[in-house]
Amino acid sequence: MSARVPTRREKLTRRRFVALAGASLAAMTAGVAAAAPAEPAQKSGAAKAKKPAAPPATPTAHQKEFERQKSGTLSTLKTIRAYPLPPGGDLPVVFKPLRTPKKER
Amino acid sequence: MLKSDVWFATIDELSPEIRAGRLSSVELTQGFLDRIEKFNARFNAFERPTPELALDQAARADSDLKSKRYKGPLHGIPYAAKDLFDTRAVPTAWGTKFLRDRVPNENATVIDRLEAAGAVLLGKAAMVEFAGCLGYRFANASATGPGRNPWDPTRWTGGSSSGSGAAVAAGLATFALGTETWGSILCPAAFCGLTGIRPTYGLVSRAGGMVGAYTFDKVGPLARSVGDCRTILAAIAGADPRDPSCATEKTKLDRGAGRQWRNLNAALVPLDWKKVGEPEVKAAFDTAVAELAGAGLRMQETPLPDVPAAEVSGLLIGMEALAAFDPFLADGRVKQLVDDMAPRQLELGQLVTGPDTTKALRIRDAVQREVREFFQRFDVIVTPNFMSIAPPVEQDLNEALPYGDPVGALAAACGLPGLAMPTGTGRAGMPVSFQIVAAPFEDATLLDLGDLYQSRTRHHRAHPAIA
Repeated sequence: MSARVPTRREKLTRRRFVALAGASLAAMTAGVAAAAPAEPAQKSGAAKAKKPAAPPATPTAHQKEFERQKSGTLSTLKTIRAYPLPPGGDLPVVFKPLRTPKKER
Repeated sequence: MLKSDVWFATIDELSPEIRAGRLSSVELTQGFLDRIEKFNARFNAFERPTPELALDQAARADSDLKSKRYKGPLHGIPYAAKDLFDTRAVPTAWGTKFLRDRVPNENATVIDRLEAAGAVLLGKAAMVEFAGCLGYRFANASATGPGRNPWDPTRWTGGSSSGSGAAVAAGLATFALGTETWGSILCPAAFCGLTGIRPTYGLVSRAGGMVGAYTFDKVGPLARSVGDCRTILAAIAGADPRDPSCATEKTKLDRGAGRQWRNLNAALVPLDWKKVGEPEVKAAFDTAVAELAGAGLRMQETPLPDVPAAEVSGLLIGMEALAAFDPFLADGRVKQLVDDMAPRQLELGQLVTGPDTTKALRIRDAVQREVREFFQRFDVIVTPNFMSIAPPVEQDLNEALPYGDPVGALAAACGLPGLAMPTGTGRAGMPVSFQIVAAPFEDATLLDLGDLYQSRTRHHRAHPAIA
């Protein structure tokens, strides 16, 4: 198989899609999110007596990860916004009115 | 005492034994429950075993057989279901701790369909919290801790159907149900050395399953062979009034219902193995390609359509997930998730405008058209599932899997079916997998091609030694 340099789009990894999150009216502060404690683990078979598989993120690491995800989102938006489409389009969004069932007499 | 090979037997092997009365479902089920008791903590496979329900269903299966009410090849076969399928009176927690008291009062459609087919539910399989739809960077983003790979418990099972993968690979269930938004069936199938199929979007009802991304989620099996996947898919596929997105047109899944493989054109995606990926994985993939070519499949290296499928899928999945989990974002429970970036997805979401989302929907349509044109020239895409083996459980997944997933992106955007099959081993004896992807509703073509491959190889029968 011949070698080919991946395009920028192809570099978007399986995991990076998680950075592309959605809209909400409420914004949260980084500090609150970073400091949010997890609930103590219940003593159910699998989870107990296991060391944590990943180290807890420090505030700096947390912010660094946020910036990485933000950069990914902005990169995605740049691609979406630059993608040429004709005005109008071919009705890609499907909407189906729901029929009302007839009342039995 | 059952023979040790029943734990890793296929449905095709177990079913005739059960039907002939040489193996009782109760005996088989009790054996699996004993193994779950013994090994579950090692692999984090089950969130919650359901022994009473399982033994009740198994007893009914045996009783039905005695009364000549045979329900088909899944009659009496024990399985696990990812803990996002609603199960009547059994908690269904979506991989979180804070939903552990969530007890549905009815079954998901697929659970009902498997029950009608005579299958026996052993329990709810562990999973990545919210199926990863609010993001995760580490394997431990689950109420039950990281899915530990039966081939090497220091390595990850893959996700988000982590417990489904672990349960089947460890011989704790004959098959498992998983779901996939982007990669969540094919990934654990790959890392655990299993055969798994991601059906076409809409082929299998999602009713009663957790919604992660409304227009991306698919339900499919992880099993030990293509034949088993076909049997399970045939039992769960089909229109469902409870799921309006379900295809109403019947899709034939019988052996031979796909396109004749001798007439197929397969596309091989060029990959840059010099920069990323492991040589052992490449070597294993090359043997799969050689095997398929030897069987007569025509293959041609060709680039994929140059479309922003990853961006479209990523953005829309993110939007849909934020809408789906809005109540937990609003009341702050999302802060109880293991992945501490989940609550901050709201901030990232604020960068996306309404027009951005609608434009992404329009581009998705354009992507579908390009892909449709591609599938007029090629019938299937053959490509590695991953370019590396399962990573260690503690590794940051962004670092562990640093390469793109262009085929997965296209498949997510267009709802394409994909079949994962083992093709030998890589470093440290860990499984290597490849995938075949087809046009929508060509699931039978995939299964037929998979049957052909597995009739010529034995990789799918390899399993770890669990003692």
